[in-house]
Amino acid sequence: MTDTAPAGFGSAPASSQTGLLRKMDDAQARMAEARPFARMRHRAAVLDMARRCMLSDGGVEAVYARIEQLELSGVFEGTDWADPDNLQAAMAGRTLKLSDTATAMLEALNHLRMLAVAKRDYFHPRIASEQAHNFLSQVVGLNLDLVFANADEASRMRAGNMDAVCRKLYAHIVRNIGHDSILDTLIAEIWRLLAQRPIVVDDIKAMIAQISVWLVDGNVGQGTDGVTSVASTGSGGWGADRLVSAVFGPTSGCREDPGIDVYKARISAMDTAGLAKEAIAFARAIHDTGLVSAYHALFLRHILAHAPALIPDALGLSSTGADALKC
Amino acid sequence: MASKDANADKDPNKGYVAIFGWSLNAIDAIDRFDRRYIIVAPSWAKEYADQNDIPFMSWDFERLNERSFELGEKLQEMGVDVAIPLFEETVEWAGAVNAVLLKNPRLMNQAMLFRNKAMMKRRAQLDGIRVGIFEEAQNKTDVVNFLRRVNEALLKLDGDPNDPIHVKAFDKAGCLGHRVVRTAEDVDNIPDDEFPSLMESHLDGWEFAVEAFIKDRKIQFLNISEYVHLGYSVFVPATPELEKWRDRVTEEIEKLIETFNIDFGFIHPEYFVTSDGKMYFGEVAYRPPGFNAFELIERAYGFNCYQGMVLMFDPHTTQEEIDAFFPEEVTGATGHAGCFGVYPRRRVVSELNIPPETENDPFFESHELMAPMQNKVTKRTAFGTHWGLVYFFGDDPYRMRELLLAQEDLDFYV
Repeated sequence: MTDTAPAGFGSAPASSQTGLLRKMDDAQARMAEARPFARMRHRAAVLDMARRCMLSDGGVEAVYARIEQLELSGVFEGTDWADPDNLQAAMAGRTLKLSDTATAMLEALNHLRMLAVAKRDYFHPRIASEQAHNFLSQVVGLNLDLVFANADEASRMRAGNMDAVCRKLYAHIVRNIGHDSILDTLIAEIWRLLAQRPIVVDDIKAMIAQISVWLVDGNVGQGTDGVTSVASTGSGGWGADRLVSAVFGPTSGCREDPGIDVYKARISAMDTAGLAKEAIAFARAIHDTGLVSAYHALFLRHILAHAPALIPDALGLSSTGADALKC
Repeated sequence: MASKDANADKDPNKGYVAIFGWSLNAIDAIDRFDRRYIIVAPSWAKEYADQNDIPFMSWDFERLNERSFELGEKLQEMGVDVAIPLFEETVEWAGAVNAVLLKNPRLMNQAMLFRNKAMMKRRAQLDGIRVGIFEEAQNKTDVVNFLRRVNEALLKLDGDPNDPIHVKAFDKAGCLGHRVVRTAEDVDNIPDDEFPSLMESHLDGWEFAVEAFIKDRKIQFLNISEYVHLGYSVFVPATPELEKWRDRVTEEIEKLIETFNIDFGFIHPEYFVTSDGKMYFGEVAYRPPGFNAFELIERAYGFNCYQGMVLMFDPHTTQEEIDAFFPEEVTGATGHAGCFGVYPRRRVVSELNIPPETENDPFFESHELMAPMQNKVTKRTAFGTHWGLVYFFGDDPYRMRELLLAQEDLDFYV
């Protein structure tokens, strides 16, 4: 009939994400149209496309922008997520981390729904903005490993790259939910972990680094009612400040986190009294938190060569420790 | 009966259709359409139908029997205008019932013709439609003899590999019981319950399928589906090379309409085009195609084929309605839609794993694959069985063809 390519074909999308979004929108439209008993097929396609979308840059934002439409199209219908009254933060993290891909994706979309409601981008007939906010604070607080920890081998092997999806999702939530909500939980969690004096502290340091960034942002320290939150004191009287300073500026010589080279120069120029003061401050930091900063390691190497008498002070040794050192 | 009346908002001036067979996709489409409907299907579906407000009548379609008249009368009492078959087994029932509903006894004979592949081919041949060599087989000996005779006629010497023959059960849909037979061992593997069967010589050529919507003895919409690899993949609309044959195909369909006296309905014939430019009729089914061709057509053209079928069967349909419903053939498509049937390549599998090159391909849409139910994979003996379909959509039919072929070299189950 005709040898030329049929007219009316859309041109190929510039980026694969645009194409994928368009396919997801198509699938979502078909899901909306379908009778409830026929929705499953379309829902499966929508969930799979949303997952693939969320793996790419800006994908979480794109799916977030569509979350109200997705709910109205019936993505949650007939599932546990259709009735928001039943949703519990305690279960949500586990669902996200342990379920099969489709179920985990429904939970991921639920997270985005909660975020949209919390941010008042979505006025939901059955979820209050505050309720959504609480849900998110709790679920992030309970699953900090998705925000800070590196994926372990088992998680990385998860089908459908779900681990990467979850991490991108949580990073997005944390960026958007406001630090106050999770800061308290985060600080409490860090102190709880440090109480065990762990040896491997990379994850904890990453958390503290994040806190220090938020503190610099200046958006923290104020609760929603205008009262200073417990961020500056935390539980047990120790707060974010102690954590951040222990890692980044435990002594007066490195208070402002000047960098290794600058600090090296400073302690080279210090007299014994100055060094002694530094030593005690370092010891206090370890005792208070169980954490050691890079400056401490540098300092120790320095006094090993120049003022070995200060070592017990620098390590905060007890008399037993000091005796052991002499052997 | 349904607690919420699904037929309450339908147009009473249009027909009332009975759908024979259970398919959620069909029910969804017809429920959204403007005709009153009732689903006639086995009793195991009743509970689900009631729970979902689907108008339903239980019926056992096992073997056509005298009760077909009873079913016809029941439906007639309800005011149903016509019965529409979804599956192979329901075709003869629909014919028998429509003979009652439309007061046309010949519809019954027509249905029987469609149900017997050998009879169908013979009828076509009698009317001058070109078909390959075929014969009926009652048992394995018949198959062995046919295989030998076909290859003798082809002047094969001892030691030359045989040309294959195709063996199909008379009355099963293509995805069950279509075997390619080359050797005595292949013959041996045919289970006894697949007899009587139809044997056909192999036609070396381009095989493709056609979906034709017919009303008032005219073709209202004709789609050509391009098989990339029989039993594995297909896409719609076809490449320009195949579309070149559209006029010839149209002629052949019109011959079928004459031969089989098709006033209305939907047919799904298969054809071969050989290298010398001749078109051979394979077979025709009077029901929706397998391999989700309907879904592909909908994806490419935007109209729902089940709704199209309803338009064809409903005696109250007007030509205006039909003209408004179907888009332009080929030019009305927004792209090419294809699908690939996955069968595990490994003999032992433990999980589903969509290959990244498939998942990241811009043409990839979605899939219906499930985690494996069992670890051992039975050897694939018959064509068309698969563990699930993978769907693609894009603007370039040649790329689509290559892409679908490429899927055969990938492992979806590991």
